[in-house]
Formats: sequence, structure tokens, C-alpha cells
Amino acid sequence: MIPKTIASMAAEVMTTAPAQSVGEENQSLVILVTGVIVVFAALILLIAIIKIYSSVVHAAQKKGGNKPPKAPKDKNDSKVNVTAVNVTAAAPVTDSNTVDLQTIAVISAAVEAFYGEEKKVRVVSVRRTPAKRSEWAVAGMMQNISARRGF
Amino acid sequence: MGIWQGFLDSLKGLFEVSGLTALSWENYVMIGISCFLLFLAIKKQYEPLLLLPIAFGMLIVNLYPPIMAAPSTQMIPLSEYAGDASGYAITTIDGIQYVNKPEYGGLFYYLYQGVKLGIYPPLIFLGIGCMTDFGPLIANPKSFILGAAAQVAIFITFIAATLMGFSNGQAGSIGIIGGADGPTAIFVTTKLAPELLGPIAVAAYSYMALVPIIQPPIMKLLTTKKERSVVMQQLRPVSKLEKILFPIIVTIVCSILLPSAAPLIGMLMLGNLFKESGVVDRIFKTAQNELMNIITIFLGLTVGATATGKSFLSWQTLGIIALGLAAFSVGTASGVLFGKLMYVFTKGKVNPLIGAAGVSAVPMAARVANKVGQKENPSNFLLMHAMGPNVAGVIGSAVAAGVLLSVCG
Repeated sequence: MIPKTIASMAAEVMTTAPAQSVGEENQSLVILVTGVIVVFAALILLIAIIKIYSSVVHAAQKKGGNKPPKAPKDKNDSKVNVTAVNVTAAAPVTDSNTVDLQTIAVISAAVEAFYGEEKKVRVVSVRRTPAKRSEWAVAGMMQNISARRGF
Repeated sequence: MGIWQGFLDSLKGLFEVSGLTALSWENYVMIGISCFLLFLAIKKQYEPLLLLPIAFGMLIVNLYPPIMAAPSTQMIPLSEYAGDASGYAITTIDGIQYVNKPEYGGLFYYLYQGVKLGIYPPLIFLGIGCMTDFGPLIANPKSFILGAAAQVAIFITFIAATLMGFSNGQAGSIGIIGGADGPTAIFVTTKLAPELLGPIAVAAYSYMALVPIIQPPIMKLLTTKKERSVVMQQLRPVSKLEKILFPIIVTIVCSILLPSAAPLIGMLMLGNLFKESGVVDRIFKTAQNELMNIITIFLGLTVGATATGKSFLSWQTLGIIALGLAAFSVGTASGVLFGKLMYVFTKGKVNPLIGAAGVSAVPMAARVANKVGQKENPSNFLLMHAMGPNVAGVIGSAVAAGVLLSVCG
């Protein structure tokens, strides 16, 4: 037996109910109530399904070994004038819990280039900040969106 | 003299078939209205991609009505038929033989079949799906509630329309204007009330263009300064796998619940899957560019061509325009009010302004929410938060359309 949709069941109720119980003047109200309930029910169901599958995907990706990588060590850290620098940056991530090795390498190189030859630096951690997006990212996004027209 | 007389007769014949005698005053009024819509589309840039072809279709059909004529068969008595009748069917009625000469339909008649058969709107949705990023919605699924809240306007407008004397099918077509979604409005109207397609399409697209004017006063009226200043937490990043699974899951769930919404939701999600899968670059580019543009031209022209003088110039059209405005306003208000409810339940974490983006005028409504929020706090970027309800509204309006088609169709 083909399962009936919620809307077709509501339509059946409206067409087969006794005339004296659902008059023409109440039919509009029935459509209002049916419509609102069905739309909310469908979208709430989608919320639940999205939350479930998002959790499943995150759990699967965590199990797959996507842990935050350890920061690389500097070989010359035994020398005098070594300064340890905690580097926290809004790094791009492929997953909510990781910073890829390439990004860490780029950040380390940038930090070393910034400090130059005056100080030897050791990157001890690279963490994604919870701060708001950079202004450049927002400007880029707004430019992309403004290039699209609504249909 | 014979040549001169023949020349005068030809001129007279041309005059008699010209628009100067064939057009009525309603056609001339519609020509004026279409010129005004062209001005809005070109000078004011009100949704020009659709309003321009709609306005031009309206112009052409009122200059040359047979462009929308359906094919027909002319019955000419065989004795009066001048050409070769061997290729045509002959019908005998009361002993007299008639040649059945087919008359082809007008250009727009054939192009209009895509609208009439419900082909163009789902194809437009395919292109829209290719251009939509559902990331903000996946990151914050609660946005679906705001998308649903804004669709309440569809059903409230439905009630108002029935009270004004419209039939259920007509009221459903008018109510769907509140979904602020052009293809959905056209899809529903062609199935429930095709006679109202012209005024409903013009109303829907005009109001979509007026979202930046209609929404802000309602948003400010229903919210406090404190609520408008709420800075929301940054959305979590969404993985590629989540974005790929989303269109598949939404298609399955919505099509099982409401099969009549399957053409719209299915094509929207197919377009999005083209985008997110990353393995069909060629057809992804075609769907969002060439295909979208072709369908936009045909849809706009033929929808505009349904707006003839007789169908457009009536008190019914004024009623549709008034109800359309009411639908948009109620949609904004209900989205903002639900946003306020979420503000209370989340103890101030949700900015109610994003509720106004639940009307599916993507991305205009989200930009309006961002702009109003920035007036209170210039560093408050609500755009990506508002995109969640905005794209949820597209799905919500398609679900609402499915309900109307199931119940009123």
C-alpha cells in the first residue's frame, strides 16, 4: 500500500467529511491550518534530519583521524635569544577540528619572515580563532552575492 | 486607373488589418503600462532579468494579439477554396464539402507551452540551485523555522483572497505571491488559476524588486534597538560531505511528504548537487548560465504575453496587487515575530532581523536584513546568518506550493 502524504490525507478529510461538519466557510480555515502545520512539520523534520546526519558526518570524520596536527619544532631552540611565540591565527580549515599541515607551514614561514634574523622563533600552537571573519572575506562574500540577482 | 484603384484597395486592406483598427482602448492602456514597466526594469533596475522580458512580452501581445493565438482549423467551402486542396482533409456537412485548412498558432503560443505544462519554473529552479549555497542553513538548521514562519503569509493571504470572492484555486495562486518566489508563483498559478498568470507574475516580480522598500519599516516597527543590535555567533564551517548529502536528503524527504512539490524541490536540489559534487563542472556551468538565460527569456516573454488588456485591466487585478503587497508585508512580519520568539528562547543569541529574510527573495532579503542590522551596529555582519532563513524560505515556499497544489488542485 502506498503511504499517503499528509496533504492528500488532509484533502481526503476535506472532501469526504460530512457537509454539515465542514462547511464552505470553514474550508479556507482548514486549508490555512493544514498548510501551516504541514510546512512547519516538513521543515522541522528536515532540521532533525540535518542535525542527525551532521553529527554522523562529524563523528565519522573524527574517527577517520582528522586530529589537530602538532606544531613543528625549531631545531635551533637551544641558542640564546630564542623567543617562543604563540601563534593564533584565523586559519582556513577543512574540518571544524583541524588545521592542515600546509597552512601551519605557511604561518610558520610568515612568522619567521616577520621576525627576521633578530630572533629565533618556535611555533608552539596554531589555533583557529572564534573571532569574526576578516574584513577581506566579508567584502569578497558581499561582492559575490551582489553579483547575483534574485529570481 | 486600374493600377491606381488596385493600389488604393491594397492600402485600404492594409489599414483594415492594421493595429489602428484591430486594437481596442484596453490594448493601448496595456501598451502604456508595459512601457512603464520597461522604465522600471531599465532605469530603476527592478529585477530587470525578468521584468524586462515580461514587460516586452506584454507590449508585443497588446500590439499584435495573434502572436499568442492557438492553432486552429479553418473550414473553407471547397467551391470557394482557391489553392490545391489535395493535401488537406475534406469534411462533408449537409452535403457541402469543406477544406480543413490548419492555421498555425502564434510564436508565443508555442513558447508558452513550457509555462503551461510546468516546464520552465522547475528549470529556473535548477539554475537557482546551482547558484545557491546552503552552507549557512546546514550550519544553523534552526533557520528552517524562520523560513517556515515567513510562509504563513501565503495561507493568511489565501484566506483574505477567499473572503474577497476569489475561488480556492485563484486564492492559492494569489497567496503564493507571499512566498516571494517568482518561479514558484508561476508554477502554482499555471496549475490553479492560469487566467490570473499575467497580473500575478507582474505583482510577484515587482514586489520582489521592492523588498528593500517594503521590509525595513516593518522590521523596525516590530523590533527594539537592543534586538536589532544582537551580534550572532559565527557559523560553524560545513564540510563538503554535508553539503553533498543535503540536496539528496531534502529531495527524498520533501518528495515523500509532498509529491506535488517534487518538480520544484527536486530541480532545486539537483542544481545544488551539480554545484556541490564538483564532478559535473560542464553541466553545472550550463545550468546556471546558458540554460538559465534561455529559460528566463522564454518564461518572461510568454508570461508577459498573458497580460492582455481584457485579462489585466479589471478590479480583480487591483485586488491581486493589494493582496500581493499584504502577503509580502505579512511574510516579513511573521518572519520577524518568529525571530523575536527565537531571541527569547535562545536568551538573546538570535537577531530577530534575520527572520525577515525568510521570504525567499534570495539574496535581496538577506542583504536587507544585513543593512538594517548595520544601521544599529556597523560592525554587525548578519548577511551569512540571514542567508540561512533566506534559502530555507525557498524550500519552504516550494513545500507550501506543494500543499496548495495538493489541496486546491
